Amino acid sequence: MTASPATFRENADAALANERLQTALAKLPGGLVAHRRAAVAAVPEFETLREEARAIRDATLDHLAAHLEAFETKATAMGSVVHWAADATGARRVVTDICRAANARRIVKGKSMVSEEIGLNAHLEAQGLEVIESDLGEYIIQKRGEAPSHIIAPAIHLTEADVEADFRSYHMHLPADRPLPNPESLVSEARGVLRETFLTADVGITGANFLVAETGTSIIVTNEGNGDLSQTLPRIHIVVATIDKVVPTLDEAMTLLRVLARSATGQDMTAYTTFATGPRRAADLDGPTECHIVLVDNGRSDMLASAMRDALRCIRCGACMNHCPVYNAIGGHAYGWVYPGPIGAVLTPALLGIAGTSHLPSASTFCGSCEAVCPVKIPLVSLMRTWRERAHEQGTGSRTSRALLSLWAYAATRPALYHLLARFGVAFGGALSRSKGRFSRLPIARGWLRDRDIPAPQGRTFQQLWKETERGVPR
Amino acid sequence: MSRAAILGRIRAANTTTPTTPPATPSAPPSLVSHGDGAIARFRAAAASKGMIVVDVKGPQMLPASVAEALSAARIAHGEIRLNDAALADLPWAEAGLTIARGAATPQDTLAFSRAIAAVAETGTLMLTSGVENPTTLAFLPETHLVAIDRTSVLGTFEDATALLRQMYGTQLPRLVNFISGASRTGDIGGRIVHGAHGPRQLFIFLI
Repeated sequence: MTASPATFRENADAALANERLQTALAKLPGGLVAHRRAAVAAVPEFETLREEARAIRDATLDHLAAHLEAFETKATAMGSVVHWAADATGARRVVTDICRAANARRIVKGKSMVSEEIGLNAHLEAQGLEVIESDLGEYIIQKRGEAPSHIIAPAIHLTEADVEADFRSYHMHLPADRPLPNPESLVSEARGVLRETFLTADVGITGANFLVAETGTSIIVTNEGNGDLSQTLPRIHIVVATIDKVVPTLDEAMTLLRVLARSATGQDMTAYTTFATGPRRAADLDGPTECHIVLVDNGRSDMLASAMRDALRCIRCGACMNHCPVYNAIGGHAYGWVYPGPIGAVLTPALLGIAGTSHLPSASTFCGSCEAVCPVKIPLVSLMRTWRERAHEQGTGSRTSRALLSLWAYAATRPALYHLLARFGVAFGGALSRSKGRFSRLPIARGWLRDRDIPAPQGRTFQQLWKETERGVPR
Repeated sequence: MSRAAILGRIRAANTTTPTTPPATPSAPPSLVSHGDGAIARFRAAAASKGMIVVDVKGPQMLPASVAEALSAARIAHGEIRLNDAALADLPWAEAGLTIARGAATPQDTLAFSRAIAAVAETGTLMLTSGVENPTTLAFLPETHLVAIDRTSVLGTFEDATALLRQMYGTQLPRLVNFISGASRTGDIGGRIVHGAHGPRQLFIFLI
């Protein structure tokens, strides 16, 4: 990962100037956003479902320890081995130990955001293991040495031409002059290369969209079938999931599934939704002989005790970023860590600390589009506002903005002074620009005014106008 | 050690929450109708996802229907991999088709599974893994054929979980696969392409 949250401003500038990225991002409104709108319109009870989904997540978090214990008991009874990892280091160690004990050399992975979060691939590779991402988007960016730029569409920042160029340089065993005229041919080529990987891998690692306490089941939701091949062909299956993924019963899982795909890709169901429970049974002809489930905390229990608790409701659909004007302008890499968009602006400071990440919650107009589409109604705007307050309290952020905020706060808590200053500002501003009615240059807003003008005050404050109106209206 | 620490932190964070879990919230019922309406809805939803739905009068007619459907789609009549005993007993040779028993191999191009149910709301097939239904049948070959009885078409996912509980209690088979179309991806240039890793085509034989 090259970018970091601390260099968000520079990352964003670079993203805005990157024409290829802008071409790729321009497809979002007509793609995932339009598809979600149609899918939601087709379900009259969708708003009720959102409320139900929120209630399920809240109720589960309220009794999280009991549900995790129930999950562990049932999963163990069904033949899985359940491991607990307090942090990223612990989780990496557990996975490495399982691979070592199995004499594994090659690992195939289904898509998993928590494995990105804990830096699993780099760690396993440093231990001499070969790790291959099998989700097509993840495969493409793994080869490029990039992080995902979206939680469900990791290569959304790339165009078809980018992928063609990449495949020509990676797949050197194929004829250099082969035609790759369209996405179909590129998908076909990747299918062939990855099929070989599935058949020769010793270990398959997947994430989990949900864990079901009632049955000890892990659920994955995919379209390609790569997660299914990852948890069926290799002799060992490892599920890596954070502790917030558990739900009590199959019924809650079904309700959440009904909002997940519709919010994510605008499908009512993805091609594959798979419930996996334990290793292969005695009579089965295929499937892994060992199934391990690694329950990762890595900051979640701290979030549970914090003001960020509501963010643990997240089911990782990506709707908040698809609908975010900031994400649409700069893409995911500018956020500098694993989780981009509004949920990233809330999660990243929670998991890494607000020092060095305070730009993320600041990069929002608080337009509220994210909240309006969140299937579990996370109050993303107020959570981002909380982070801004924390950043101010802890003295992070630029000196100029802190000084201006302090000045404003001084005036805003003294109404008489505030009105006086407002009247002066409005009158002075109005007089200054009377000829044009707008400003195209101001000393402290050069960046803002580069591409637009700002309307000038029209001579009187709101309070003055209000008083005049009140006087004029007969009672 | 991690286990106790994690559970301890969670319990400490949850001291103010109610001590007994609330009653399971009841999901709003889906507005999809059951019965005959369900079959029409299933057919439409499955077709909208690119699956080919073929009506079959009875099990004995299945091999002939399969041969016809494959020909219509210009798919070569290769060996069909399956391991369902009842399916294997059907008159495949009479329809000019050959079958092979077992789990799928990387060389197989056609495989046949049986779905235990389908969900009309979304045109979704529900398959369970087991000796007669190896999971690889549904993911390795390029063409996946699925048989389902008309009487097994359910209205909603609530019906599907009820059926799972009725059949298995809380001891599910290794896999329950909800399949809603052929394998697909939108990862290259945002355009949907079928056959990313799993089947490129999916046929449903409604018996």
